[in-house]
Amino acid sequence: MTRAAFANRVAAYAASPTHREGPTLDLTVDLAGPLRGALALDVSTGPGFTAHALAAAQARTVAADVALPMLRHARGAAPQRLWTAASDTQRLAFADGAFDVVTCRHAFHHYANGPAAAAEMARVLAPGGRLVITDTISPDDPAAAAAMHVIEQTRDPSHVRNWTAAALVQVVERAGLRVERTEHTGTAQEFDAWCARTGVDAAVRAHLWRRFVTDPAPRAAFAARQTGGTRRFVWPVLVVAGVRPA
Amino acid sequence: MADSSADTAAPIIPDDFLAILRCVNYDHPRDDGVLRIEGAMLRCAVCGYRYEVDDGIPNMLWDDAIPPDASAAAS
Repeated sequence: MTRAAFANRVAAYAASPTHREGPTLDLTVDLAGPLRGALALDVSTGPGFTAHALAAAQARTVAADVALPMLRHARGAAPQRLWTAASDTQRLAFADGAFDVVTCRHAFHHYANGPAAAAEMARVLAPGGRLVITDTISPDDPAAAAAMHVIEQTRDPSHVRNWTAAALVQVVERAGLRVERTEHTGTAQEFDAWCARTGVDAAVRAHLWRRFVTDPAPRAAFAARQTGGTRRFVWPVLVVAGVRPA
Repeated sequence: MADSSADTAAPIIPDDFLAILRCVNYDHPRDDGVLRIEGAMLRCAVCGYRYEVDDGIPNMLWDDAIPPDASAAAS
């Protein structure tokens, strides 16, 4: 499901401000540490924005994804220093300890087995190497989390689950990494553009928005509001950096 | 005028990229699955599974890997 879904979303993801820019990209690169001369892997790269940023910071970068159309797009817009490979994050096709840096941005919620994905990312890190996972997180309030989970799975059937901040940190630790730094930020979304990215029709969109704003739990947790004609919300994001012990 | 491309053509993927790629067959340790270029594909030195390289992009997905006893066209 996920592979086919993403093969059809190249244009939508390539135009997505969430993926193209913003604080989550800047923080991902910042927490990745020194990049000049490093060998970096960006998993689930999508249209390749994170991989491009790593390469622009002078890292030799491998962009990996399950969807070949995404990789062709990523490579087409590529700077120097970029290689691409079709590879599943839960079964990475790379040598043990191959990379100085691994990044995973706006993708962890798609993995059927998050801990397996984290273990694989840790496996391919060299001792002293750094993993940065950046993802939207589930609110600590169970009611808000449950409501948003239903909304998100309706909008995007490839969505598996969001993790709470604490659970995501724990996943990184259980992969054998020492958590070095965490940063909380958020990604501001225009609700209709967010729905359009996965092809949600107007009727479903209206239903989801009603769910969003009539239920006080998700409305508060995600700051859902309408200003003028635009429906907006903010999704909290965690950026967590873990280091493989030397 | 003669074209000696058989000897001088660029490899389907760079050597230093090939050096970090591994076969994803669970039947052997991942790190053992060193790959060799075989025509337009990568072949695992341990299990013989092959992976297509699509315009320079190695397809390392297990669902698309070609068993040793299968032809690429039949996969």
